[in-house]
Amino acid sequence: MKKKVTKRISIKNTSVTNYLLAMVLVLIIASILILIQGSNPIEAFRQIIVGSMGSRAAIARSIRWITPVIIASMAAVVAHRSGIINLGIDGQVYVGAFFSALAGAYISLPSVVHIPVAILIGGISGALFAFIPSLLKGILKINEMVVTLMFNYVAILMTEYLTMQIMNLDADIRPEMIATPEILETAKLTQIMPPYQATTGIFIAIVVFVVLFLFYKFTKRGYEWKMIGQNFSFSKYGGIKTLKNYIIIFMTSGFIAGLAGAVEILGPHLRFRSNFSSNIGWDGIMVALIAKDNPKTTFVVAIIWGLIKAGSLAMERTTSVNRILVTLVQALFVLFITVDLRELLVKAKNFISKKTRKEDEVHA
Amino acid sequence: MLDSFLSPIIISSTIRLTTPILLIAIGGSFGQKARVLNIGLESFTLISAFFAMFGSYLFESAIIGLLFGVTSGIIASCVFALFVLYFKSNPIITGIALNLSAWGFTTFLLDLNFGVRGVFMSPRIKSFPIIQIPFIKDIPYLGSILSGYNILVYFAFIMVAVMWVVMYKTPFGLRLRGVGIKEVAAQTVGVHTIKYKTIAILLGGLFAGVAGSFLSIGGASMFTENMSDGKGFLALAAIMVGDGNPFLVFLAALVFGYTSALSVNLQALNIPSQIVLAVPYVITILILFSSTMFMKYKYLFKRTNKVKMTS
Repeated sequence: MKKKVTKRISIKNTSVTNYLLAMVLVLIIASILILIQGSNPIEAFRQIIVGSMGSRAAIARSIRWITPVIIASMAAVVAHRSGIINLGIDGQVYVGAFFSALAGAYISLPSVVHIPVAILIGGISGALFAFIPSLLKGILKINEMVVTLMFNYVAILMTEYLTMQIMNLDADIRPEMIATPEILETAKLTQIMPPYQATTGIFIAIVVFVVLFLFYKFTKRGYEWKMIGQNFSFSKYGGIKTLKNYIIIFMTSGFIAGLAGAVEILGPHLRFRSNFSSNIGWDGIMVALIAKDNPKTTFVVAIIWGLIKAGSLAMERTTSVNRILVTLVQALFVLFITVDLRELLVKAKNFISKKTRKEDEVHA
Repeated sequence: MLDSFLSPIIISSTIRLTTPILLIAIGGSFGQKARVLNIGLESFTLISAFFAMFGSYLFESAIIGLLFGVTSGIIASCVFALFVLYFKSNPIITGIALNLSAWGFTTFLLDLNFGVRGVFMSPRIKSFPIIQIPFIKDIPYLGSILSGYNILVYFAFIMVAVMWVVMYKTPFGLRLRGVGIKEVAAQTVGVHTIKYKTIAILLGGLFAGVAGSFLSIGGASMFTENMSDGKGFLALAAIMVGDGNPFLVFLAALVFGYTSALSVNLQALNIPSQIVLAVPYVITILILFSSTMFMKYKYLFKRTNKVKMTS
């Protein structure tokens, strides 16, 4: 009988050298592209650093962008660690954002209760949205990648449709206008650095990280979840109820993704707008991949990712470099660290030295 | 009302909307049979859509555009093959990274070369012209659904049959399928499995190149940011449903095309656009669900216990 080994997506060959080599390679490519575009790469990099940490506004901007990346990447970590390829995080973010926006705008509660309730509603709706994909994979073994990808589109369309229904909007309205009403004051997350957009959401993100870290390190459940990722059959023989756990883990990933959406709405956005997410889910997935699904590393990488994202916005304003370049470079970085670059360099060096040695033999 | 569901407009829209997904799926079928995960198809399509537009713009010719598109699709698939087969990277990560890179790269190039964000149109971009088959176009119902498409559409539908033959009636196809079924066994017989897998990936790139060209210069004469917009993933779903059999994949793609074509019609019945646009994605899931259920419980329909050799 063929042993079923769970397909975990994580990257092997990740010594520090490989990360550094990949970073150098990526910086070279970025510099070339920036030069082609007619800007100064050094200036562009400087603007990214200044724009993310160089002033009070910059730090606030960084905090604002780090928050969703941390939470989304935690959602990815939960999924990947247990062998679940949840590519639907973006969709779950949308669903969580939408329902928390509704909870924020239509329910009236004192602030102390309103915020947690709205956030929880966001999380729960994200979890429920992940329920069907988890069932389809768990029971029918249908590939969750394709299903979650499909559900992403369903989520974006569904939330847009529901927004239009609730707001009684006409079909031919301008896309930017499709939004829910602004959430009530009691639901808004406090700004920690007014007038900028950094909110207490960052603390929520940190709490999510700490909880997950402790969970995986110190609890039996956390160990079981990790084991399901390592070896599905082994866990089954070990007595872990795999189907039930699979669904719960999948839904937890969706829950955290929903939290990310909720924090985005209750913090910076203050209302649900259709197509609001600038690829938060994909940022989260990529960060988790870079960090090999390790919670601590993910946290650090998420912070750096958020810094780069914030800095790239500033860079786009001050230089003329399109910030899509940053997305491209980030994606290329993920691509390069899948390769054992150190191995490659060694192989290349051997190849060159063999060639020169052959030439010497011929000449001798 | 029934006639509006099968009206010539709907059928011809179906055919036009099916074409890109069908093309990608035909190419991807080879990868499916060779057990290669086709996550990168979306990126190949997007890249080739851009370069097809670019080629057509530079030379004011649709054919040059097609050349650019197909070549860029093949090059993109070479990158994918390099990372997955040679560097042994995880295909899922490579695919995700390539998809995002393609989006970043094409958007960057769009801004760089044309100073435009979002949509680029120009009279210099030439699309493929519509072909009216002289005799057939005058047949009452069939005429309007069989004639009046550009050459890429006809190419796609002919390729279904051609690729079916290649897959099941040629030595190449047999060995390719063998590689997918049991790689070690194929190697024992002397089949160079990496070569076959590479060819499978490159075929995926080639057809995705045609699909991308269709998107930008198959009538639209424009390029929009993220033009492929999930068609690669829909094709992936079609491939999975049809398990790489070109004919079954064709049927799946046809379903997607039909539901997309119905969107305008259903809007007239006051069903909002988002629901209709969501239908292809939901249908994908339903098809995956029902085909898996069917495969699981197919034994209930079998009368005999004879073991059948499947093709």
